[in-house]
Amino acid sequence: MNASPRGPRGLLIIVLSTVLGLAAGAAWQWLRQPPPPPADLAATMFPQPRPLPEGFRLTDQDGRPLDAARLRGKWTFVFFGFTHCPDVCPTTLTVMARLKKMLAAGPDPAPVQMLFVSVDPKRDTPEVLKRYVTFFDPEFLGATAPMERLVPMTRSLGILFAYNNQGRDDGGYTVDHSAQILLFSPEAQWVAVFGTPHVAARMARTFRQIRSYYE
Amino acid sequence: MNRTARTLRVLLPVLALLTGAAAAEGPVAVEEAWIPQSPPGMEMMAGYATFHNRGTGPVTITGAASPAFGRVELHRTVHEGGMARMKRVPHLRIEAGGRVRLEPGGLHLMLMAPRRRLAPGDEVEITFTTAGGRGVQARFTVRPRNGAHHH
Repeated sequence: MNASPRGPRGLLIIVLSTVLGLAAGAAWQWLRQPPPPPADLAATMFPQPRPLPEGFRLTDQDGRPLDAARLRGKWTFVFFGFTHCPDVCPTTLTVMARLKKMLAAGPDPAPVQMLFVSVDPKRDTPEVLKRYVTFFDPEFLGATAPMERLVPMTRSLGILFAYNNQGRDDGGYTVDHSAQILLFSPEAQWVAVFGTPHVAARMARTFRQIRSYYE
Repeated sequence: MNRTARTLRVLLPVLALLTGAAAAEGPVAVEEAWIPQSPPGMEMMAGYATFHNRGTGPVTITGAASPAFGRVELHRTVHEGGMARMKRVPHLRIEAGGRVRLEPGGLHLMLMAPRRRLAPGDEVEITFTTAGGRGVQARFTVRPRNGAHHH
């Protein structure tokens, strides 16, 4: 009697086309997805690069501003610490110096720079930072920022630090701090985090994988 | 007096002297003791070594001092709460026959307020106090960081 297209047959067509449409959409999404990041990395790599945090404006060892513009065109490895740090910081900066040499020696050397960001701006003036970082490599960059900018900036990068004067009666203090090394791309975007322990050869291998993934 | 007795009379004091000297040296040997050369003007340096207890009982190190530094402390770097922290180690026990390694990223000596600028090749005396013992004397050599001591 009622031969409207809304019969059982019409319903079937609607259901079928919906299913087909959904499948096509899923396939399209899947095809558009970036390839999975390389496995077995010495780092956590973000599938999508992250922008620099708002307050990424530092002052370097020569008193010059160091911001996104200084990161562009180079891969930048960043480590956070303080110069009164007897063990972790010099050990890590020595690894970074070795890593820089390894990456420069490869067949297709990447433009790389190493940056040490002090979380102790009170004691680590540009002069102190210059003496300190250039000891490990004459091209190393050292920078810091006033505390009010440093705290939110490091937090957005997942870097924690806390002042510690426990057991010291001489007015001295040390700084507990995150020891991971961050990697920024030549587009000045945050792409990976290297966790401890830092081993130069492993980091070099991982860096080459990350670089070929992005380039 | 026969010859044996005379020989013994001469030998015994020598033997006593030798064993006495060995006892004064103590059971703990400090091996591969080094101080990484540090950037100029740094108020804080580190010292690394291996304690080897060659004795028959445990030895506990309770402190350290050096004429080359204002203050020497034993610390351990630990990773917790997403941060690297230095924790003071007030007592370090070395079991009989055991070795304890002080190395970058782990146990280390914190050498504060150096009294003079130290260059590679310089030697520094560090004395460790031990619980109920005579202490341990060690000589640390300043070396560049990029030497053989890395993983």
